[in-house]
Amino acid sequence: MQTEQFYYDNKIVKMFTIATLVWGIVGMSVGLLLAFMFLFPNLTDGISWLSFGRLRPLHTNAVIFAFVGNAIFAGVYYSTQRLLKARMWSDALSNINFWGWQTIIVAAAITLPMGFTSSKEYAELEWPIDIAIAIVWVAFGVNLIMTMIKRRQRHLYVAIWFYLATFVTVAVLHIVNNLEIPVSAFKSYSIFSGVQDALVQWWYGHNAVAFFLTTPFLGLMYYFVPKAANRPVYSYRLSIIHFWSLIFIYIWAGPHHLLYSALPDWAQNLGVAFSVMLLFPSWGGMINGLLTLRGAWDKVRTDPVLKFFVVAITGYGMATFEGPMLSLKNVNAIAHFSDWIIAHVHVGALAWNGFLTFGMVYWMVPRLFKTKLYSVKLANAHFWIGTLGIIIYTLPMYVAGFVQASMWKQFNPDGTLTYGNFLETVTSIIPMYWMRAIGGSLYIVGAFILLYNIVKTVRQGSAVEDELAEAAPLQKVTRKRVTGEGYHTWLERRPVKLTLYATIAILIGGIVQIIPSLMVDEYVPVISSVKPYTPLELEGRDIYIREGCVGCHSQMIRPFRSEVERYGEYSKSGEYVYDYPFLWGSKRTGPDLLRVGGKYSDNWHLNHMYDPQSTSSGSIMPAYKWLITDELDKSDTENKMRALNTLGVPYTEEEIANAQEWMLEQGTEIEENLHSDPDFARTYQADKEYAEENNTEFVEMRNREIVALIAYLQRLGTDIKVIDAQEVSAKNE
Amino acid sequence: MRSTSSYLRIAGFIILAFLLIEISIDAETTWVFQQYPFVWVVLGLILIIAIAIEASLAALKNMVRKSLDEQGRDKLFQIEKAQHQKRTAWFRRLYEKMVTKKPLEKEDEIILDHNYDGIRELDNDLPAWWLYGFYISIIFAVIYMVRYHVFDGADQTEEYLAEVAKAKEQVEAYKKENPDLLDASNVELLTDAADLEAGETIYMANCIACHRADGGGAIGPNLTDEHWILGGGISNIFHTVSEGGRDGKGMVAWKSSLSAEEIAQVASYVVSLEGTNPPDAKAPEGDVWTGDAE
Repeated sequence: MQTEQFYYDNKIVKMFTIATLVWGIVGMSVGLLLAFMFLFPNLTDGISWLSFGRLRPLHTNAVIFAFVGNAIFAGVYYSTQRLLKARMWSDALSNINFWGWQTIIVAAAITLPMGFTSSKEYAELEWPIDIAIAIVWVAFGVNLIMTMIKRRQRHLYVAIWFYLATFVTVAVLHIVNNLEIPVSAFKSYSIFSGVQDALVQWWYGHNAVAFFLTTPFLGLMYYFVPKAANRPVYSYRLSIIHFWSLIFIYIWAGPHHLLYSALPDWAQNLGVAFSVMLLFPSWGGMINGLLTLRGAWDKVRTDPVLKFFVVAITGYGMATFEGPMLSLKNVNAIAHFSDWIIAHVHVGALAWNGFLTFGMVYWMVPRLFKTKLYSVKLANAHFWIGTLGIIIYTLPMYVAGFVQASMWKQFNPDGTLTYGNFLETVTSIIPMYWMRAIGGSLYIVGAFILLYNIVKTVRQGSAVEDELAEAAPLQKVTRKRVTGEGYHTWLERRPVKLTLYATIAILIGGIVQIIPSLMVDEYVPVISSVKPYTPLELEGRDIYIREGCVGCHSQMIRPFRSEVERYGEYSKSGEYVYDYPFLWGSKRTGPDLLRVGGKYSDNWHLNHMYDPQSTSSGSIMPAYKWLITDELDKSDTENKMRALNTLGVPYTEEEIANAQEWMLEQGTEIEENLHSDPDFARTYQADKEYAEENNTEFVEMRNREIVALIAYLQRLGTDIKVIDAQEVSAKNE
Repeated sequence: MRSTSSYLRIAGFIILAFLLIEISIDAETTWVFQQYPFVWVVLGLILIIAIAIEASLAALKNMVRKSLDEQGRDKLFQIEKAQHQKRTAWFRRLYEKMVTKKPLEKEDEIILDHNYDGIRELDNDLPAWWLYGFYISIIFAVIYMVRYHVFDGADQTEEYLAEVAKAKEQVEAYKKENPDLLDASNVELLTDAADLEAGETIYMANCIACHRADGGGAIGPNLTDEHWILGGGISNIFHTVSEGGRDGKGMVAWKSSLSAEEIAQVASYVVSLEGTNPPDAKAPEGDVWTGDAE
């Protein structure tokens, strides 16, 4: 049989590897800055684009899509070519994938700090970028599948199955969760609202973890671990069983992010049941990875690459054990909204994704540059500093989560809360936040050591951009050769069928859970007193979204005695029908805000936004001074109302036509309220006179952003407040 | 005695006895041992008997051993060892079955003819503990769904109502046991210097953001004049501090942040501010308070 000669494309791997390192350090540094903002809340005082709420999504997106994303592409492009014995099908598509992805990351790094966000976690980017992501992702997928079709290796290896499942599922998730109706170039509304939006979002969010942070990395593990250990994969049968069970079950587990929320019980319980079933399929990957090292443990002691892999796989095992446990409702009742979850995700991100990436880079770069690693000692140093960093980061966060959640729930015998002031529960865990910042710093120091080591390695080596390889082309399989062939072996010869079956496997769970929420009328019981937001409240809500308030404040009161006592009546699904998008949040660094409406005076909110520590001593909320001075942009209000109208919010034509007047009226009312504080009246008057004297432009308080935000905050959760029902209806008349 | 297994036996015996007593005796409160403390004595007796049995058994064994010569002792030791192995054999077999895998040396028997860029694959069985664990988790999931959606397992609203009802009962019981709890109806004006000083500290920590350090008022009303929106006098002020003011305008409830004693202190301090006439004070709001007389 004649062998063919061809070239592996190493250049694309090299580019993605560089991008991984650069974006990794950027993403982690933003995370570290955020960690320090817990300790020094006004670290970036007054700079709106460096405020916590806007940087948090930048951190998560940079780490997930820039760092891990580029690592996936680097590893996939390296291993796929070798596993299929073929160069990538199209260099053009490879380059579109690379440059497109980097452009998207840069666009994210610019738009997120500017406040352009859809507020849905890990899907914050606005609609033009969403479209770009879809296009680039499809370019990647087409390239991958076409390379499979042009392959020289008869059967597809388990790593390739995982890559396929990744491509298909991420495409489906991304498109469905980002269905939105544009208002302007950088503003859109999710087409789902309230409960439905929450369900779709966490179907996406959970499976972004599954199919962006887990399945591609399992694929990478299946390639790089046996290569680095020079050992056969432990069990082929286990690969098959855990692959199919993992992708089928994972997709159902999303609702475990919404336990005790206003989501219907049956959807929550499906999430619990499937999360529990997910444990063993997840562990199948861990077992297959760790047992592949059987007979190579002596190498683990000396080879930093294998050390990184062992910690990565162990971290994966711990996080996937913890996941099902956190999905049990009684455990979730404690952990949800607390720093426990932060610890959980960082075990996954720092150990599993981070360390697997580091190990892969240490293994791959010397091979790409035909040299040896510059310093094994430095790599070992990186390993120990990084491991220590993970421990110092996560352990205190577990403690912080548990302590704070316990304080939230504690009662005095007379029926009052022991820690009625939310702030007490925050100040008690500040030492843990310090530890977290220290652990995170160590981890980043490790990343810099990696960068130095790699730069040195690259300098001493020589890049081979197109690596020569040889393999025989695929021959037609004779009938004789395939008699007695197992079913799965048969499937492994058929990339298109395999893709199709994987797609079916991942669609079932989503369909069963999501379709009823969109079709069944009784899914969300109607509450007649719930009305759409006024235009000013709507604008205030968009400011709330822009500033990323949802990163620290939930709007979901769970049906617990402690939460009802602290925040007010628990959430009903019917209250959220006009929430496009939903803003339930997933973390309570500050208190829940669902029923904050009417709790404080307008002046309190103004002072609190200007200087949170003045009204709440010891608060770690940063100041939002620009909201108090900046003019509210009302130019899109009618468009926003019209867009929402098409989605089903009952704004009448008349209301839309009178939007400006309506906003002015409500703004003036709040401005008048603010005058009840003589201090405010004095400074406001002084500002006004100063502007007049100096002939500078003066924006009336009624037209400023803060007034819209106050309008929204004062509205929150009041629609069903029974005591106020009369007062509210009187006001509306 | 004094071997680990004898201690374990005693502990196991006590736990068993504890559970049996708990199950067999009917109690009104949650724990039998809480309702009938006498049962502790019974449990103590059982403990003594268990220790006695272990001690006499050990003594007996010791006597037998001492009565034997060297050979006999060896034989006894062998017999005991064999018995022990027999007893734990099932556990060892189970353990081996659960974690069994091909020894490394025999790997070539199960290596598949796959070769992906040099990566080979073994055809090891699924680890039994993994497989059975997976089955168990599936059974758990089915039972879970059936329990809550076929049979009437409590949903989260029912759970909540039960939690609140139970708490209400406990709080009422507590209040009945402590009839002298301080509240707006029985609070009296404190005039002690120590109390007023404590009140001032609380005031400075919590109130000045809205009422100013001198009580002249800012976001909140002036506290130094004789006008009161929600009524003056220690009882009304206590109530306002405790429960909060007018919704959307007034202040939040402080009862969960401050204890009743602290509220009494700060309310008394506020009463003491009347007539201090700070500069720049806010204009009066509300009605003139003429005293507690109706």
